[in-house]
Amino acid sequence: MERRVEPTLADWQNEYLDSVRQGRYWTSHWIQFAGMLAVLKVVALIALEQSAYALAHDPDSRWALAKATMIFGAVTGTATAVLAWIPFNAMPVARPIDLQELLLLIPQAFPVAIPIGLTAAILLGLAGRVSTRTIVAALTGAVICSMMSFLTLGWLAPSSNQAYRTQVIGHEIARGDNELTLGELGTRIEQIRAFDPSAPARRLSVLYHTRWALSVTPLVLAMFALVLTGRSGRTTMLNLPATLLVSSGFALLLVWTNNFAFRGSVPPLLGAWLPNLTFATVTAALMPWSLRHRAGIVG
Amino acid sequence: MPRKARVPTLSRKESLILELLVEHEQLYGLEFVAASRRGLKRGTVYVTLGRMEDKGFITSWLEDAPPRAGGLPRRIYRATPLGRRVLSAWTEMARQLVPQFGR
Repeated sequence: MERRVEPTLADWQNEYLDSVRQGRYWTSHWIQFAGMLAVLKVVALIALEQSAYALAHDPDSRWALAKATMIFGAVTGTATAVLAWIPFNAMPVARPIDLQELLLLIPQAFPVAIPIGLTAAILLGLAGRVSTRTIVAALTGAVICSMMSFLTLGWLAPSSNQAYRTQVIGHEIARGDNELTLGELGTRIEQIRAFDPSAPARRLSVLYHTRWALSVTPLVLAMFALVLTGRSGRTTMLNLPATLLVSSGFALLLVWTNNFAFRGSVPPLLGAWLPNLTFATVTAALMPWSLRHRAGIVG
Repeated sequence: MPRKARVPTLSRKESLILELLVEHEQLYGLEFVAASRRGLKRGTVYVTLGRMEDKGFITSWLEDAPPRAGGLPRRIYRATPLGRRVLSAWTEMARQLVPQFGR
C-alpha cells in the first residue's frame, strides 16, 4: 500500500511547494485540491483492488459479500420506498398517486435508508464470515455510502424537495429550510448571525450539523455492526432483531437529541453528532471483546 | 499437476507507461501524467505503477534527497528488462493483428 500512497503524497507535496515558492497563489490552491482528490482516489482504488482480490480468490468471502450486497439492495430499496411513501401518504388532501411526485421524495428518504441497509447487510450477510478482506470491503462500501449520503443531503434532496413542493402546489414557491443546499444553509446562518450576533439561528444550525452528521452515519453504523458480527457468530435469528434494534435505536436517538437541540437544551453541534458519538463510543468499548471473541479466546 | 505459466498481459495504461519509460528512461508519477497528454490521471497513475512493479515490469527507488528542504523524496520509476521485452512483444503482436497499428 505504501508503494502507492507514498509517491502520491511526495509528488503532491513537492508540486505544492514548487508553486508556493514561485508565488503562484491560485495554482497552489488548485494543487492542494487536486492532490487531496488524488490521494482519496488512490486509497479507494487500493480498497477496491483488495475487495476484487477477495472476490477472485476466496469463495467464502465472495459468497458473504454477494449475500451482503443483495441484502443491502433489498433493505435499502424497501426502506427508501417506505420512507418516501410516509410523507407522500401524509398529504391532507386525497390525491391520485403520481409516480413522478413519489420519485421526487426518494432523495430525502435515501440517506436514512442507507444506514439501515448497511447495518442489515453486515449483520445478516457477513455474520460469522468476517475476515480482513470482508472488513475492507464492508468499510469501502460504507465510505462510498457516506459520500453518496453527503451528496444527497447536501444538494440532491434539497432540490428534489423543492421540485416536489412546486409540483404539488402547481407554481413556484419560496424555498424552506429543508430545501436549501448545504452551502446555502451555511450562508443563511452566517447572514442571521451577522445581522444580529445574539441570534443563535438554532433551527438552521441543527439542520446544518445534522446533514454533516448523517453523512458519516453509514460509516459509524458499519463499524458498530462489524463489531457485533464478531461476537454474534452465524446466528442470523439473533441478528435480525439486532438489525431492527440498532437502526431504530439510532433513529430514536437522533430524533431525541435533535429535539433537545431545537429546544436549546444542548448546542446544535452536539445535538446533531451525539448519536454518532454514542455509537462510536460503544463500538470502541466493544472492540477488544469482539477481537478476543474472533480470535477464539472467549468461548 | 504443474501450474501453467501465465503469459504477461499489458493494459492500455501499462503499455503507455512502458512507452513513456522507453522514451524518457526514468520518470516520477506526475511526469507520467504530464508526458501522457491526458492519457494518465494523477489519481490512477500511482495504482497502475504499483501494479506494474508487482508484475516486475518496472522498478523504482526513492530519489537521493529532496531537491529542496521540506518535501518528501520522490519515487522514480524505470522499465525493467522484462517490461521492455513485454512491451516489444506486445507492440509486435498488435502490429501483426492490426496492420495500421503504429503507423
